[in-house]
Parts: sequence; C-alpha cells; structure tokens
Amino acid sequence: MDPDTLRVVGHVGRDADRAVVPLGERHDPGPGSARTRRGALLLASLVVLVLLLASALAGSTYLAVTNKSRADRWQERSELLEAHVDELNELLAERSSALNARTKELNRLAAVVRRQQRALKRSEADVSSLERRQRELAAEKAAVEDERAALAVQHGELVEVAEAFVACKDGLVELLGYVIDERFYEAGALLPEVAADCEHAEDSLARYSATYG
Amino acid sequence: MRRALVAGLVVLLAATGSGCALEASEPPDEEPRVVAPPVEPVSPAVPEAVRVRVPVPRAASFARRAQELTVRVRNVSCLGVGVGSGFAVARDLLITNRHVLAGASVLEVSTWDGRTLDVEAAEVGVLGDIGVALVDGRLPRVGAYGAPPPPGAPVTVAGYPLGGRLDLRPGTVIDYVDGARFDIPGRVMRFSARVEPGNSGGPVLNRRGRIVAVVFAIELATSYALAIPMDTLHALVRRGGFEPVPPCGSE
Repeated sequence: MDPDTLRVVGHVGRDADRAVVPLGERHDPGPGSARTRRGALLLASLVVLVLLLASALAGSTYLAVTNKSRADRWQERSELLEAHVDELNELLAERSSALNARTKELNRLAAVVRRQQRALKRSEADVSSLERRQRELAAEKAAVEDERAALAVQHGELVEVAEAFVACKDGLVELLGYVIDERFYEAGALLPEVAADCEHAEDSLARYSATYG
Repeated sequence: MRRALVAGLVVLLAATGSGCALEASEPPDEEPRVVAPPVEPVSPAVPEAVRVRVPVPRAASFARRAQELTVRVRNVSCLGVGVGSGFAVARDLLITNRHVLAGASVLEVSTWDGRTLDVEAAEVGVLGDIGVALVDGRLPRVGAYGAPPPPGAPVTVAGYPLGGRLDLRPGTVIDYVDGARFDIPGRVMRFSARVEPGNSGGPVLNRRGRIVAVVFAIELATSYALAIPMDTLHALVRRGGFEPVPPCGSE
C-alpha cells in the first residue's frame, strides 16, 4: 500500500496522537492492526465495486438488449409504414389520375352546359318573341273572325232585305201584267198583298240602314 | 477517502451504463415521397354552371298558364257579334257568364294560340250569371281552383277586354258583399282590377294561378269589378242547375 495514500486516508491516525482517549471510544490497538483494517476495508471496497460494476454491466446489457429489440421493432414498423405509404402513393396516384380525368370531363361538360345555357336563353327569347307574335296574330285572327261573323250577320239581314224586295218586285211585275192585260179585278185583289210586300221590303231596308248605315 | 470512492464509483457506473447501452438502428434518412401528380384545377365554368339558376320554363310561368287557361268566346246573335271570356274546367268544357252566351245563334271559342273551336252545346245557369259550353276540340289547359282569397289579397284577372288581345290585369280583393243586389244568390267578390266589357266570364286568379272567381260585372257606383267566387258558383250550380241558352232578344 502506498504510504502517501495511507497518509491521505489515515486521518484516523489523529486519534493515535491524542494523549487521552475518551471513554466509550474504541482504543486504537496500534499501527499494525490499523494497517490490517485498512487492507480489509480496501478489499471490501473492491469487492463492492466489482459487484456494483457487475450489476451495472448486467443492467446495461439488459437495457441494450431491450433497446435493440425495440429498435428492431421500430425498424419493422417503419418498414411496414413505408410499404403502406408506397401503396397509398400508388392509390393516390391512381385516384388523382381518375380525378383529373373526371375534372377534365366536368370542365368539358361545364363548357357544354354554358354553351347550352346561352343557346337556351336565345331560344327562350326566340320562343318568347314568337309567342308574342302568335298572340298578336291570334288576336288579329279573332278580330277578323269577329268581322267575318258580323259580315255574315249583315249578309243574312241583307239577304232578307233583298228577298223582301224580290217579293215586292215579283208582286209588282205580276200586278203590271194584270194591268197590261186589263185584268183589273185580279190587279185589285193582288194590290194589297204587293203593297204589304213592298212596305215590308222598305221597312227591312230602313232597319238595315239604321243598323249598318 | 470514502467520498472519493463513492464519486469514482458513480462516474464508473455512468460510464459503464452509457458505454454499454446499445444504440437502436436509425430510421432511413429519406422521407416517404408523395408521388401523386398535381390535381388539375376545376374550370371557373363549373361553379358558375352550378350557381346558375335554371330559369322557370315559360310553360310553367304564371302568365303562360293564365293565357292558356283563358279563352275568348264569340257570340253571334241576332243583335250582332259579342265577345266575352271564359276558362276551361275540363279539356272540352268551359265556364263563362250567362250574358256572354245568351241569345247566341253561333258560339265560337278562340284560344290564345289562334285556334277557333266550335261550341257543340251550351247552357246557362238558372241562378246567377254563369254559363257552360262544350267545345268541339281540345282546350289548351284546364284550370285548378283555389279558395277565395281574403280582402287585401292580390289577384289577377285574365280576359279579352273589348274583344282585343288577352290581357292580365292585377288587382286587390276589396271585400265580399251580398250578391242579392246583383241578382246573385250568395256572396260576391269585389276587387280593384280594371275590367271592361269582354272581361266577362274571365277567371280571377290568385297569386298561385288558381281560379278563385269568375268576373261578371262592374259596380258602377264604385267602379269595382265584381266576380262570383268559386264557392258561390258551386252553390249556384248545385241549387239551380242549368237551362238552355235563352233565344236572341229574350233577355
């Protein structure tokens, strides 16, 4: 054992220099005995140290093995996730392509819809204009038909007037025939009838004129 | 010495622990790449097309329905030619006023689109100023009935004023009065729309285009238009029924 070490360690030796040792304190048996105790203490310390080192080594080994196992599991997990990511990427690429195709189609359809909307608006305007024209023509047609109906009524009344005058004229011709033939008796008998016919004709004409001007 | 021993021990343990701990394998440096191609943007036309409100087809619009529903009735009588309005209650049956049909020797119906249909048979109501006519052909649209609107409600009267073009005129329901003074047994609707000869027999429509009354006269004292509400019309038909059209000059 190194004396320097003993010197540094051995401030127990101060007790040996003391003249009086208090009661209850252990009496130092002497320098030889102290050396033996120091050796034993050192040995014990070394044993403890070795034990501690062994236990630390065991703990470290255990931890290292555990860490390795965990790291391997993480690695596997990471590889698995990476594989999943690759699959997802493929799926995403596939879906993106499909989406792009659909978007293109949608854009094309939107353009078609827009064109058709413009065409529809034009058609609506055309239809509206045609309908307006149709209503105008329908109104004109109805007005013309009203006039036709009115003319038909007028025509009917005029026919009646004409028929009355025809009857009057026929009577007058017959009456004249009797007068020319000097058949005055027949002429006198026919005269009131002819006069009534002619009066009726005049009345009809007057009514017609009053109605239609 | 003891302290030095303990300190040395701790240092030793730490060194041993840290030195002996095995390092776990590192994950790959490169991050998973996203290889999906960029998505093409949606054309502005798409949201625009989605936002565009589809216009109500004209066939379903109020004006279109009203004009299809309302017909022009021509009455050729010994007194000349008279014109009134009417509306279809079946594909070949229309309702109008008694005074529109009265005295007719010939009755014709014109539709909004210019067709002229002959009237095969006509009758007038025994009670009230109502008449029905059966036409030889197909009327454009059959009307639907609505409940009499309350006073203040907006209405539209459709008809052929003065025998001219089909016209839709807005108005407001004034009130309902006893029809006895107009020879109508039942209540009569007064409303503010401007009606003229030729509107007689035309429908009064509510805001949904349903028929709520039949125009028959103008109240001279107030200039309000008068119409027979559908409930009164039903009651008149139920109680009085119909009779042949009176001959010309009898009324």
